[in-house]
Amino acid sequence: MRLSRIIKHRIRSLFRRTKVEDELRRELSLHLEQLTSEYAASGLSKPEARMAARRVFGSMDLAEEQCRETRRVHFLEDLVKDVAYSLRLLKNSRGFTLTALLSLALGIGVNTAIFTLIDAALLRSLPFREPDHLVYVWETRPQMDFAQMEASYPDFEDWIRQNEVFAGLAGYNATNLTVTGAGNPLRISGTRVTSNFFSILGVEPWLGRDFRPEEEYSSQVVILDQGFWQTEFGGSAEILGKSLRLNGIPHTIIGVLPAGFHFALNTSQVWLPLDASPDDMSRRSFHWVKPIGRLAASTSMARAQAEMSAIAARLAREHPETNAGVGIHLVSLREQVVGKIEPVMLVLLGAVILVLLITCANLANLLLARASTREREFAIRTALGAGHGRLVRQLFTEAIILSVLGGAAALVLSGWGLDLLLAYMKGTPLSNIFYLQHVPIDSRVLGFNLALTLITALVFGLAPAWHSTRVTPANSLREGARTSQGHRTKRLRQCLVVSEVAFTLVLLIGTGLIIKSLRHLLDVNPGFNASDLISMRLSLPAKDYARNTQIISFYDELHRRAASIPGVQSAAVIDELPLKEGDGRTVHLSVAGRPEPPPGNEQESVARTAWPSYFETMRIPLRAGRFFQEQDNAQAPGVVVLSQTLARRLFPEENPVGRSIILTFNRSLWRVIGVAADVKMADLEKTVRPALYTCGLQDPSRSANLVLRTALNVDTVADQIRAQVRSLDPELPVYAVRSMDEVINNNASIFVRRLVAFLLSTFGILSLVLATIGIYGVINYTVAQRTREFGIRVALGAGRGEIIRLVLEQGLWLCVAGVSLGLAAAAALTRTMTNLLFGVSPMDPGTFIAITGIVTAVAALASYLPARRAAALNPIVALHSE
Amino acid sequence: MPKPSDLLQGTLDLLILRIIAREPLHGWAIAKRIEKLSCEVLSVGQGSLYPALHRLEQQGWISAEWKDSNLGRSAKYYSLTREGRKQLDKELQTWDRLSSAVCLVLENA
Repeated sequence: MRLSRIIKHRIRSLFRRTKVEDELRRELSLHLEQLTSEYAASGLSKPEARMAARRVFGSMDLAEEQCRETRRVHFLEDLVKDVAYSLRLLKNSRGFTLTALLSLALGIGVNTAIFTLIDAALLRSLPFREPDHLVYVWETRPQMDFAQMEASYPDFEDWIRQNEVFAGLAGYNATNLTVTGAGNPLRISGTRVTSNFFSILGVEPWLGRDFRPEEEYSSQVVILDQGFWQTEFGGSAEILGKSLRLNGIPHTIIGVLPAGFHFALNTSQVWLPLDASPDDMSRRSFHWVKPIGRLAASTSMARAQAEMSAIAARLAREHPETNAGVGIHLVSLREQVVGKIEPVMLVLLGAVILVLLITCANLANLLLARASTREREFAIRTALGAGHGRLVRQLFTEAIILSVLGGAAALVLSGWGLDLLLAYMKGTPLSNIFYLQHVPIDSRVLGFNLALTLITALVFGLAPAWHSTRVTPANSLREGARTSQGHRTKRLRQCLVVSEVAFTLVLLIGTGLIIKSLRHLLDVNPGFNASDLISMRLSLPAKDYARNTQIISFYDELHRRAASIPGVQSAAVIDELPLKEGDGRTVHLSVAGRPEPPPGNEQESVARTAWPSYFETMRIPLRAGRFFQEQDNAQAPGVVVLSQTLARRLFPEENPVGRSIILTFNRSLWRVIGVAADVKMADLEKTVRPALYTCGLQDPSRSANLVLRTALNVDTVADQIRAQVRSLDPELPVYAVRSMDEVINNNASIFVRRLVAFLLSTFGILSLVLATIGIYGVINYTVAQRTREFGIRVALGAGRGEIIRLVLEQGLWLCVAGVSLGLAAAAALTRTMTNLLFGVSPMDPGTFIAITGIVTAVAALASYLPARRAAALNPIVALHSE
Repeated sequence: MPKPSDLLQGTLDLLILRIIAREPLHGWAIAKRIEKLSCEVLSVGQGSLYPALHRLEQQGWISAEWKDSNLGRSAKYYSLTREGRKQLDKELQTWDRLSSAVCLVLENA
């Protein structure tokens, strides 16, 4: 009640100003009239009475002002005036405004963009019900080369039966499928899941229904991803019950997933029942199920881990031949999804914060320079009665307006930047991690942007505001006055420039370290010659290629035709290329003729199936024996080529060629015919894993890569191969056509560093430019201030060199101070990026020295230009300059 | 012109509230009423009266209305609002406590 009256009253004071003012005047003049008539009644003449009344009444203006003050709406009135005035000022100095807006837009923009990424990747919870309760379950074999692995199906089943810590355990496995029927055959990715997969995640189909338990095996049903449904079926609601041909087999569509669903560990267009073969389900040594679990209510991760470790120990006792030494390791699903990207994002966050600080310092510098030219304006306003508070508010209003405009521009800029970044990441291993199918500029990002904008305004607005409070009108108004003012401002501007140099140095050193790591990584020999190699992938459907002879003859024919294309030097076929993510297939083995190792202690090795001419095409050197040849076919005894590391492990003292090995899973015997040089299988970073190759003519695989050594253009080759494949099998898609260079560049270890290097160097160069402008500005300002001094020096006989040295010295002092601070900060901060470095220490002296050199050179250049101008001064002109 | 001390200012607010509690009055009449009731001891200049009136109005204790007056033209009449009446009671109690306390000190010192 009272509140509403107060608000009404204030609104009236604010918006009915003329009326309120008019009433005030009437009220006061009524009082004055009464006073006058009282004096008149006491016997004074009319003019005398009026005089007396006026004397008693005092100043009408003052009375009005005192009443006005009680209204407490000055603040708003002044604000409107300040805003209008600031806008006018900004419009009048266009150069300044544009520079300031541009740097603000960049500074705030990169922060907003990186925040959006961090928000999407790290801050947002996974889009599932109670995502904190979801865990990923690894089987581990700590004493072996391959520490973490998928679960075997019998183990997975035993966990489900024996555990009491999970509300449920689901399993999945990635697969690739060919869609035929409409138009060209299409290659898509799918996930095979247990029937409880979606209910464990807490996701319900948006259309149709979930899988039923009885559908887990040998039923042809499929659930579609929302995006796939939209693009392939135009979002038609009558899709349920329709048929989709996958790998040549019709599947009934039973559901469509909701639009927001995104399973980052395996993005898929279609979801199918697990449908494992009896063999896959019974072999305890075959690790292929990826398990995720939902913790039971009020069960902690630690308790779940303890119970699962106990189960693992029990299984190891019961099945020593397969499970000895096998443990279980639980990781939160979130960690599994974003764990690797977290340190990268934090480094980027650090970098953009530095950029913002540099932007602030630079703007404060700009505003200070402007403030000294506006000194007279402030002096006049102070002389006319403006309080310091009023001036400071005016300056902050200007800063906030600049910031808000800059922040708005930053929002647009960050949107573009993100689009570019996402386009850059498309198709790379990173794109799955981010929940960024569409850039979500939402309320959180807007809030962040706004907060940043205001903080920025506060930070860079502080300097000129502080400056303005020191203005003394008497000094500043005097023509050509030189006050201590200039000196103090100079100090502040020097501090700002020093910090700019320091921040820039930190950014550039970080950039240098990353670039050096990237170079070291690219210098790593992958074990084969990656230039002029093109690869593409094919997958033969089991329906049409049931027998090995069919697979062998298809690839034999294809590789023969590919090799005969003019311009192709050689062609080969292999099941998995090196440097794809992960190790791929692995096997356990032992040496024939030796006592069998205790269960669980067999040698593990990456396993590949290579057709003859693979090693020659990849240019993998031969170390001993020979490579595969045409005669190593199905009729001949099984042969195998070992990698150098595996050969050394198994036969440290002997010649491996001619010896035999036994693969543990099917007890098959293979004779070693040769040893190949090591190849980096998973990525360039990790140590080489032992590997063995079987011959494609004896142990074929339906999915395989065709590799061509050719200098031809990727698209030309792809078209020719597609034509050949079509003539062999019109329903077969050719996909993942890439040059080997592209495969390497898209390898996560390279790609992440390339991305960080690209962003850091952009930020680093940006800040170097800003710092250079800062140094130049300050030195220029000092030169202008010392013009008369230089004139005197020259008049007294100082040479050009001496003047240049004087100015240069000043710039270099700033630089030395900034560089020392920056080196100290860099030494403390680069440790945070250890994860990203490769073959470089975080304190790499080469990088530190080189970057220091670059920054010093740039600083010297930035102070040389004003120095040269100072030296060119005519002493007569200089002495008359003030 | 020296600013009125806090005590004086608070007291003036109390006097205004008390006087218009009986009937709505305009500024001139309030000043005259204070003078008369205090036997010419207290004289309130416009410099403190009108700011005080406007502040009380701003705070919602009193409301104003333009009405025809006995002075031959319309004047701004101030009256107590409901909350103003409560505020007056509160201030009267405070005043009682304060003045008796001051008296105690003066008598026993």
